[in-house]
Amino acid sequence: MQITIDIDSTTPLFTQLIDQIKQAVSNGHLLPGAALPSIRQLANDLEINNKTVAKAYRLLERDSVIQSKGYRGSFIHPEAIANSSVDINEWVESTLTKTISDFKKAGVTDSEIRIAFSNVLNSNNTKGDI
Amino acid sequence: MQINTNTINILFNIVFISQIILLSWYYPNKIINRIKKVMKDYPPSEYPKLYLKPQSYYQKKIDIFSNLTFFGLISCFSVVLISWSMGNSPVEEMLIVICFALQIIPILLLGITSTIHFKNMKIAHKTTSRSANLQPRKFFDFVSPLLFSFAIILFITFMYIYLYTHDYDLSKTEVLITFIGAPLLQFYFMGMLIWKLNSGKSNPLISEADRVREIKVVAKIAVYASIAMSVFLIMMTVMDEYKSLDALDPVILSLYMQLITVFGIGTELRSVKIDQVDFDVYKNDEHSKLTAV
Repeated sequence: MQITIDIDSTTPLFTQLIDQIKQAVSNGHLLPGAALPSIRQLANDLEINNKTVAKAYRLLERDSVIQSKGYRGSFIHPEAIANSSVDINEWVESTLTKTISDFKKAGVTDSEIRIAFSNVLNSNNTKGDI
Repeated sequence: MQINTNTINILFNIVFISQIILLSWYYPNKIINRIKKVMKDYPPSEYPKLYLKPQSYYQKKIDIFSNLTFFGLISCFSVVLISWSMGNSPVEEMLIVICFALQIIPILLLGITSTIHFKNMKIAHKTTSRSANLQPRKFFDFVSPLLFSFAIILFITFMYIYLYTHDYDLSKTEVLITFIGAPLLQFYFMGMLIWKLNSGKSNPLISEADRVREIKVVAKIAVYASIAMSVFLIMMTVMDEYKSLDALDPVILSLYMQLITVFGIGTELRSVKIDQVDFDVYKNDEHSKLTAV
């Protein structure tokens, strides 16, 4: 199973990796339990930074598409097929859209929303929640 | 056990001439014929991506390789003549190593030239799109566990024999150097293999199947080299114990040089057949599409 990335694309490299691995899982090219290449192998093959592949693997692990088994490496999660169709970014966007429209209905201005949003985000980052 | 000096000299001359033939004639000719076959069967008109310069440039490189090999051949034959003229005097081991270096330098230079060629190829065919296989490359997918175990057992055997014959006396500098140096060399072979498993493509256009084959060959060579080294060290240690066999050292050294050449260059030439290599990757994109249709 081959993956191809475009280094000039406006889509970040780690997103391209995530999308293609999820697509491979959905299409049945990568089955649950299948082993993935090591971060170093994939980064060297694609001639990109190790950190980019590590970030993609970390986010895929968060979405339960892959699971890390220590020194044995990374494997496709048993529930990967179902989890691959869940788009966390879409969920964030739809939740925010609903919340912002509620604020607007209540007469909150754009700048008040922006200030409140960045305050909440900053306080969460300080607590180490994200 | 005492071996006649004349017998040793005759034996050495036979073994050393075999080294000259193998390293300065047989393998260089095989390599040259291989390059010429590629240039003839896969010309620039059909496989433009394989060549960065006109064919005359590569012909010049072949000529340089040929001349250097010939220089090695003449130098080594001079050693044989000197050995004959000296009658019963044993040949210095250092002379054999120098000869081996003269014989192997053209092959190493050829390796460096191909590395530079692949680097320039990477620059010439730079694309924004990059591909990788999602198949992990595991150590034992490329190395036979049986062969690997054999290499380890041989190495442990050598360490045991060496320490036993030296009374486990690590206070002697020579023993300590071997005790540390020999495992380090083994780690070097293993490190080279692990690096190859994880490293990117040296040839940017190589097909996935050819790449897997290339890694398998490197793996085989690394394990063979480890086995050859252990066998050589065991033989040298045993011969050190029997001082009367010391005169056989140059013979064993020459045999070892030949063995690592057969394991290294020989394995590569045997395992990677030109007809099995996917040369379609060097065609122009339009040409590849037409062929596919």
